[in-house]
Amino acid sequence: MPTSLNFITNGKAFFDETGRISLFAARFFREVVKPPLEWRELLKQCYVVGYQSLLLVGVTGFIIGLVFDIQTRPTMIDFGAEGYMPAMVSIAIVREIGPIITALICAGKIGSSIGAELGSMKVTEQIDAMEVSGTNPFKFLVVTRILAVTLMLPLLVIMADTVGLFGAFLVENLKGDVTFSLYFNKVFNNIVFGDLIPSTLKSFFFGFAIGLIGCYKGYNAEKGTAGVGAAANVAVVIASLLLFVLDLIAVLVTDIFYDL
Amino acid sequence: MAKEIRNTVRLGIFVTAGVLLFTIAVYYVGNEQNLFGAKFHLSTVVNNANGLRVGNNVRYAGIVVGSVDDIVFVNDSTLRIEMLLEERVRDFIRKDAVASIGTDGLVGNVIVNISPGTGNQPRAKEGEIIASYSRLDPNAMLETLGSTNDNIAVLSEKLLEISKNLNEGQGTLPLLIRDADMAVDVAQTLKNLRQATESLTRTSKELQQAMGEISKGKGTLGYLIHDETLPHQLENLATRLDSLLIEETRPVIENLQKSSRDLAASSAQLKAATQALEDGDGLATTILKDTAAANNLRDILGNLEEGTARFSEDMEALKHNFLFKRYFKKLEKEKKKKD
Repeated sequence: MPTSLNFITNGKAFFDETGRISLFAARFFREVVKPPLEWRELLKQCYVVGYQSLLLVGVTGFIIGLVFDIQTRPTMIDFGAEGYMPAMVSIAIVREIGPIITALICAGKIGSSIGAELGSMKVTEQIDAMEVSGTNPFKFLVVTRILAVTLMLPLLVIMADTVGLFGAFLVENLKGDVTFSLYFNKVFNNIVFGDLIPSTLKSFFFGFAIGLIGCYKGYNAEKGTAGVGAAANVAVVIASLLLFVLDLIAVLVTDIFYDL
Repeated sequence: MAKEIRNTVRLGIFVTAGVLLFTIAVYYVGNEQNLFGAKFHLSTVVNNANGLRVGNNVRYAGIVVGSVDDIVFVNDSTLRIEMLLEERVRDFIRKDAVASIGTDGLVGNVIVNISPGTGNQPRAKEGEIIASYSRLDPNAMLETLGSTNDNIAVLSEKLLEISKNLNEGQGTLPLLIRDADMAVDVAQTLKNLRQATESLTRTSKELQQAMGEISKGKGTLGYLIHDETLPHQLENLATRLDSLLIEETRPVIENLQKSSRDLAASSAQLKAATQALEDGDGLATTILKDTAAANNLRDILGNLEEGTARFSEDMEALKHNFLFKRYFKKLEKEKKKKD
């Protein structure tokens, strides 16, 4: 099993890795519908993935909204379209910036965390010990984490969007004397379900991809402590890459259904 | 255990906040698209949608009151735009309201603008089709602007030329500006014009007054225009004149006819005499046609004249003769006595 990123440039290794990840995903779907579900562990993972990432995602979203508005504002003023700033910023944040930035941050924080945690459990044979003790390690460790990331990431994206829009509003208010009500009137006047629903749906897929890759890499870590670090690293890289591929697919599918 | 509960509560707050935010966003977005609350449908028919899409805003008197619900092809050149509007504006949209497709600003979204009607019409019913009119799209506006710019360029060039001529004193206008006498003349002309205008105004008033009196039937003209018996009188007069003319002119015409007949007879006689003169061989014909005879006659007449002159001389000589002198004096006395 490859633990480095060679499989990206090696065709055979690429398909081998893709096949293994697909089998891992299939096992997840088999296990997730098979009761009982480890609810306590799921809630714990939701807390770790969601609540404990909130500050990081919030700060990032706020800065992204703020910076995005500051950077684009002069160009919009040059075009005499200053009044369209709320519309442009909101559409950009809701459609793309919010979901992808949040997912990338979570891929870095959560993907690596899951990869390292499960990897260390693997190399220290704790997973084997769980199997011996009669506990289903896949159900307890993998299913709960993937579900937690899948469920929490859309909420984090919504938080990031909201905070990002507030960051942009701050700039508009300070530089353009735009009131709160006017700003959010313009925001909701320009956002449609074609912006909101696809971005929320793709956040579920982003979360699933981050959890899946992190768990896969950690669950299959090898070669001692070095393998743990490699698992965490590769999990982040593959998850990040996969996020962009999923984003591309999501945009194409959205374009078909919503005629963007 | 307490820590676990605390974490669960925090997670619950986080999830609730996230779901709440999402719900609020869905509500506001849905509200903007008129998914909630009472609404009604209106339609309009256009030839060109100008890029209008389902979900675009509909404005009434500049306020967003709904959205485009559907765009349907009626035939190859006609589209029906179905709009979903808020119930609260139903009372204000009348049957004669007019819809037009425009843009939100120069580069904004395409929207439907509904202009209010006159207010005299009944309010529009559910599914009513209101009138529409086409507005210039940005391309047409830019084309117009381009041609306007060309015209402005030509105008500015001409203006520059005129300014140059003004500065150099060429043409009539510089003369008007610089010539003091011309200014006085113009002032005098204006004064005359003012007087003429005043006079014209007075005349107009008088004419108006006269027309007013005429319209009331006053004066000869008023009587002529307004008297209803006048046409009958004129008709009777014409009839009488006609009969009178016939009676009076009949003898004249008869005389003229008689004179004409006499003239014709005289003409025939003259023609016959001329013919006889032409064809005959009398003295007159000979004089007319024979040159030698005419000359002889002229000689004879000359001799006769000469003889007469000499006879007069002889008679004058006889007057002075002592034998006849007495006799001629006696004749003169008798003549004087007679006068």
